[in-house]
Amino acid sequence: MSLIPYMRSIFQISQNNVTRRHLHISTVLNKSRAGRYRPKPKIVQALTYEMANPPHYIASRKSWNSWNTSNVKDGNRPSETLVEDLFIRNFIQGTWHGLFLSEIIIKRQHNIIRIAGIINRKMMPGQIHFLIGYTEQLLSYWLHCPIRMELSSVPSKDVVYKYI
Amino acid sequence: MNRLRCLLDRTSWYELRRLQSSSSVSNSKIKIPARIQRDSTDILYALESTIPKDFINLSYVYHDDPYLYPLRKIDYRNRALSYEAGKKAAIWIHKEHGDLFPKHLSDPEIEAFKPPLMYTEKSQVSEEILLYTISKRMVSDALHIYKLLDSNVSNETKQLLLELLCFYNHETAAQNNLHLEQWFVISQDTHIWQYTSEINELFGFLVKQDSLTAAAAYNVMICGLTKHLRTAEAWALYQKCEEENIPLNITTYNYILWLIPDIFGHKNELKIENLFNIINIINKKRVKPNVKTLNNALNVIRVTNVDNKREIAKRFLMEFKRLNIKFSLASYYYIMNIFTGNNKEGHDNFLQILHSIENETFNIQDPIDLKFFKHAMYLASIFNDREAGDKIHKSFLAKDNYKFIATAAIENAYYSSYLMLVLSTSTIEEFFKFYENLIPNVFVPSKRILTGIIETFKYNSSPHLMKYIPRLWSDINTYCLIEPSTKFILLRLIQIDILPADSVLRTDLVNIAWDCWNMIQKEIKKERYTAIENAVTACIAIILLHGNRVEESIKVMTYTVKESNVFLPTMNEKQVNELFNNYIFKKCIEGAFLILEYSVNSGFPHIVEMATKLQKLSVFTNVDRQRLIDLVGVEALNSLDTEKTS
Repeated sequence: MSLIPYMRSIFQISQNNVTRRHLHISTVLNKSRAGRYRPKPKIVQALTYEMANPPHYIASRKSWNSWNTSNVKDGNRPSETLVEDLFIRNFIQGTWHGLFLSEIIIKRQHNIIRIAGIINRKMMPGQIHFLIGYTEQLLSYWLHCPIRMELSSVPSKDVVYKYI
Repeated sequence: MNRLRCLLDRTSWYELRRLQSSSSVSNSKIKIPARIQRDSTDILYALESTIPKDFINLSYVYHDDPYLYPLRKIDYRNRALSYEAGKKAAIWIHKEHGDLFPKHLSDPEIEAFKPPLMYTEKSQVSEEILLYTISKRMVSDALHIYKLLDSNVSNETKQLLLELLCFYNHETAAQNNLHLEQWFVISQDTHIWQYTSEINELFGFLVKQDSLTAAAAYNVMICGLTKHLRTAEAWALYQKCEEENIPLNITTYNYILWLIPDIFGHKNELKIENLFNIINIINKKRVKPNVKTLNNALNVIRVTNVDNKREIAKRFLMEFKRLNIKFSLASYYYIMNIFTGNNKEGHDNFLQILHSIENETFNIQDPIDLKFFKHAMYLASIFNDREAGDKIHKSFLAKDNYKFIATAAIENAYYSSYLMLVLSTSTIEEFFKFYENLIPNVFVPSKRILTGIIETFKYNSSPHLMKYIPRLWSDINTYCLIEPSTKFILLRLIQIDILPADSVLRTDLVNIAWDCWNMIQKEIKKERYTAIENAVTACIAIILLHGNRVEESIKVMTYTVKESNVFLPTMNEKQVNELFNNYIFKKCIEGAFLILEYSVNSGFPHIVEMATKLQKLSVFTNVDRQRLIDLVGVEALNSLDTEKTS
């Protein structure tokens, strides 16, 4: 008998389900879209290797963008790591504006964070070295650990894997 | 059966051996080796020693990327300083906007990442905080806290603050650990003496206290003033101390000794007199001298121009040896300066000094220590003593002696001397073996060094050199912007005709000549250019001809002959003949005509012979005959014809 109060809420949920229209799970829209690039009419899109492979290929054709052990069992600081990674990506996108051609890869090992990526050659090497020093120092003040940038540079078009 | 017995025998024999060996172990005493005291980093050194040396290692400062890794000598400096400028920008932001950064993220807290604390009120600060700031060498912060405290601190703290101000007056690089800046930039601001009013106030207060506090204040003030090149003030203060009989410590006396050459300039007798005065005072007051006392005394003797300076120096050295004071590298630097004149005796003394530092371990005790290896290598190159040079280099690479080269300028001078020494004392093969090991992995040569090497080869016509010209050519184009005249010296060294026909070097050398020609064309198009000798272009044409690139050589010669006003006419007869004969050999009428035209224009002899050779060519046509008439005139040609008929 004591179950009835609980049951009441369940009934309510099921009632709601029936009354709502639930457009997003209709056959048209119930579809995985995130991380997938589709051709657009009249626009040619240049995709990198990373963009050309949809998310279900992670670990088979392509790899992760963040490397850490926060999300294994008993991992350390999972939520903080995520927020910090978002911060690092935003910071790099803003500081290295229009320079990164690839995704920003963040690897954590012990107390060090290594930020890797492919950049284009729009800036002089001296300026790039300035930005490397600046980013490493400022982020290490922010995250309280040593930061290393590991960059490779390519002439602009070299990262295009395919056009759709 | 026999077989079984044999097996049994063998087993028992093994058993016996086993028993014997175990009994011998049990009989011998286990000896535990004595404990070796090791540092915390010794395991890392041990691990490092297991790795073979990597000769293509890159400096960790720069990014290992073809676009980002520096090539030119100047780029090494620019990029390293850019990197550190970025760091400095971030440090500045962190300092100015510390409130925006997380404060308690690390656990345990790491001091280096925490934003600096800003104090605005008196209630926030205390003497402990001031002492902590002084211990962290933060000059401006310490002064700020001191002012917030209304100068209301103990005399000891005031003394410490004065010491901080006197020692780290304006140095910021040391505080921020900017190693690259210290490596590349020669500090020019040693004379800057900031915070004068604060220092004077502190000093004025401290000298009015009890005699011990006052003495300490006098000591530190003299040291600070000397360190920042305020020599007259420091000397006046020293005089005052002497008059009032204020006790000074050995560090202060050392600084006073350092002052002598600046104070007395060219007055040699006064310098020596004052040196002995101060040493006598040190002796009388029973202050124990240290190695810096010796070094600074030797410095005075070094800059003094008196006849018996070697005897004086010897006396000092013997006296300090008797006091059992171990010499530092700076002492040896001064000894080298005093005892090694450019003669046989000087050379012997030099070798003796090198012998005495062998297998010794040195620590940095004096800023002048850093000059030792540079000067020793310089002397080795002056004496042209390869053995001594190798010995110096060996002891330089031993242990952590690399620390004795502290700036890029010193490193440059050291390797420059070593390279020149090896160049002047070994064969071409030996030199280039050494050169390839050293450059660019250990050291990147400057323009001056490369020019020096090429200048040395200027009159060397050794065929062995050919093998190394491509390497030298690529190096002078990679590491620095070198003048065309130096490149032309290298070009003129090329003797392609002595190489075998199938040699792979030929293409490289021909390409060098072609690069040179492209460079000349660019140079000529400039508004202001230094006139180029046409002997160089002739040289290029010869190399191209030998490399079977006839069309290109004709292009070069056409330009040289037709635009002769842009060149200095230095082409000699030998070159003209070589070019002409080669064109004739290759049956290239166009080229031969160009050379003939040049010879006619410059009035070379043998024009008639040249015309004869040209006429005899099987590909010679009537049109060519007309051209020949236009060039050498009908008479010459007629005389040729008459010669032919007769």
